[in-house]
Amino acid sequence: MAQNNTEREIAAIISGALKQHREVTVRGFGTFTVHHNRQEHRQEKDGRILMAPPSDVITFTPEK
Amino acid sequence: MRMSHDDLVLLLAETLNAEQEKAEEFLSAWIQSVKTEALEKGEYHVPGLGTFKEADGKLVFSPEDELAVEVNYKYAGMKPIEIMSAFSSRQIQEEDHKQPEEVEPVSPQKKGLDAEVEEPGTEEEELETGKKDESGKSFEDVFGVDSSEETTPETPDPVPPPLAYQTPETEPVGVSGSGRKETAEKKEMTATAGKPPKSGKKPASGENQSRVWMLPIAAAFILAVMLYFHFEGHLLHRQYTEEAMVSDTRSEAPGETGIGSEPMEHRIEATPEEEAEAEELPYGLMGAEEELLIGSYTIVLHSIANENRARIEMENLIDEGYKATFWQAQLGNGEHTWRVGVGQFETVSDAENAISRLPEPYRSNNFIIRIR
Repeated sequence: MAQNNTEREIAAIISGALKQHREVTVRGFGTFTVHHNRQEHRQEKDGRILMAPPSDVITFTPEK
Repeated sequence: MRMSHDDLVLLLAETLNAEQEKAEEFLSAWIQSVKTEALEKGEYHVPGLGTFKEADGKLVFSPEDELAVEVNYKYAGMKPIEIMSAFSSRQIQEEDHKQPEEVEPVSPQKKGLDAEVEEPGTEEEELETGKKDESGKSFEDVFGVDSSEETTPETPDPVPPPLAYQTPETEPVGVSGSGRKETAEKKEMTATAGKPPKSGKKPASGENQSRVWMLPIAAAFILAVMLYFHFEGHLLHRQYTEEAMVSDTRSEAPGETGIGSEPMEHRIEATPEEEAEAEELPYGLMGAEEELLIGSYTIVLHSIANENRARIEMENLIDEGYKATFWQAQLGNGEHTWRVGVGQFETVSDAENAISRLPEPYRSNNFIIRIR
């Protein structure tokens, strides 16, 4: 029960920081970052050219 | 904008009302359990955060959908837009027999469009909108809709220059005026080589007549393609390039006025239940806006330089029954624009769901922003 509560609080702190696009470093574990993908256009196999919108995605880099 | 390990421990200690050493122990135990579970059992799910999986001996993280949407709130609701149909692409390739395989995906380094929706509340900070990339090409350059970028043939050509998809390096991918002319010359040489002209008569009059008939048809086709991409360009222009849109609205660009002045063809009829809900709760798409909820999300439908026009658009939306508001936003270049938004939503997901209830062209031309 206590472990679940701790896990919930840790998740809330990390997700709250990520929502503000803050980088979160957890020693011995890894780093959470929000990576920005710029919009780009690509061509499909059938010849259509599509413009993909930009996006902000969460990435996790495990500590070595 | 970083949260260090120590910051995390400090916050955890405050949240749990525990000593920092105890919080550090909790955190270490949690890290160990995540690693053990993920590496031994294959995956470990942390509610509210995401799932850690094992791949090639490493931890791979997948955020929860709700968290991913919240982080991506600036661009939520945006979908890929088709800027050149398969038919148009094939048509151009068929016309260009010399270089049909040159239509290739544009690499990210070559793309000339780098527009973004601004950071809500910090709009002056990191706008990349309208900036030209290293190749110096702007949005219009990429799509070839800017008349200033049209290549002028050395000799006068009765046919308007064709609109072909061009890479930012201005290499003609499809048909160029000179290229087509060379092709035509080659065809003419081939045709006349097998049929030597008779003495005293004009050569190949039938071919010339058919060529004359082809000219207006080709001109009409090219004009239609140009109009199509001109309209498409403005749609993209509105959706992705906020800064460019502001500069356009200063000169009353047709793209801004066109979308903004279009009548709503499909008016949403709010059900009595929805109206009652809108009266009770401050959130929602329809109903009167009694108070501006700071921190909530809204769907931006217009971004206009002129305050009066923005006010008119807002009043039109209110007449349609929407919970509409407008405000002034500052862009990165110091310019100001007036935004008109509809609805107030507690989460991005609610705003995304509301977009599906909007009529066109708003359903395809909007973005979600946080009210601050």
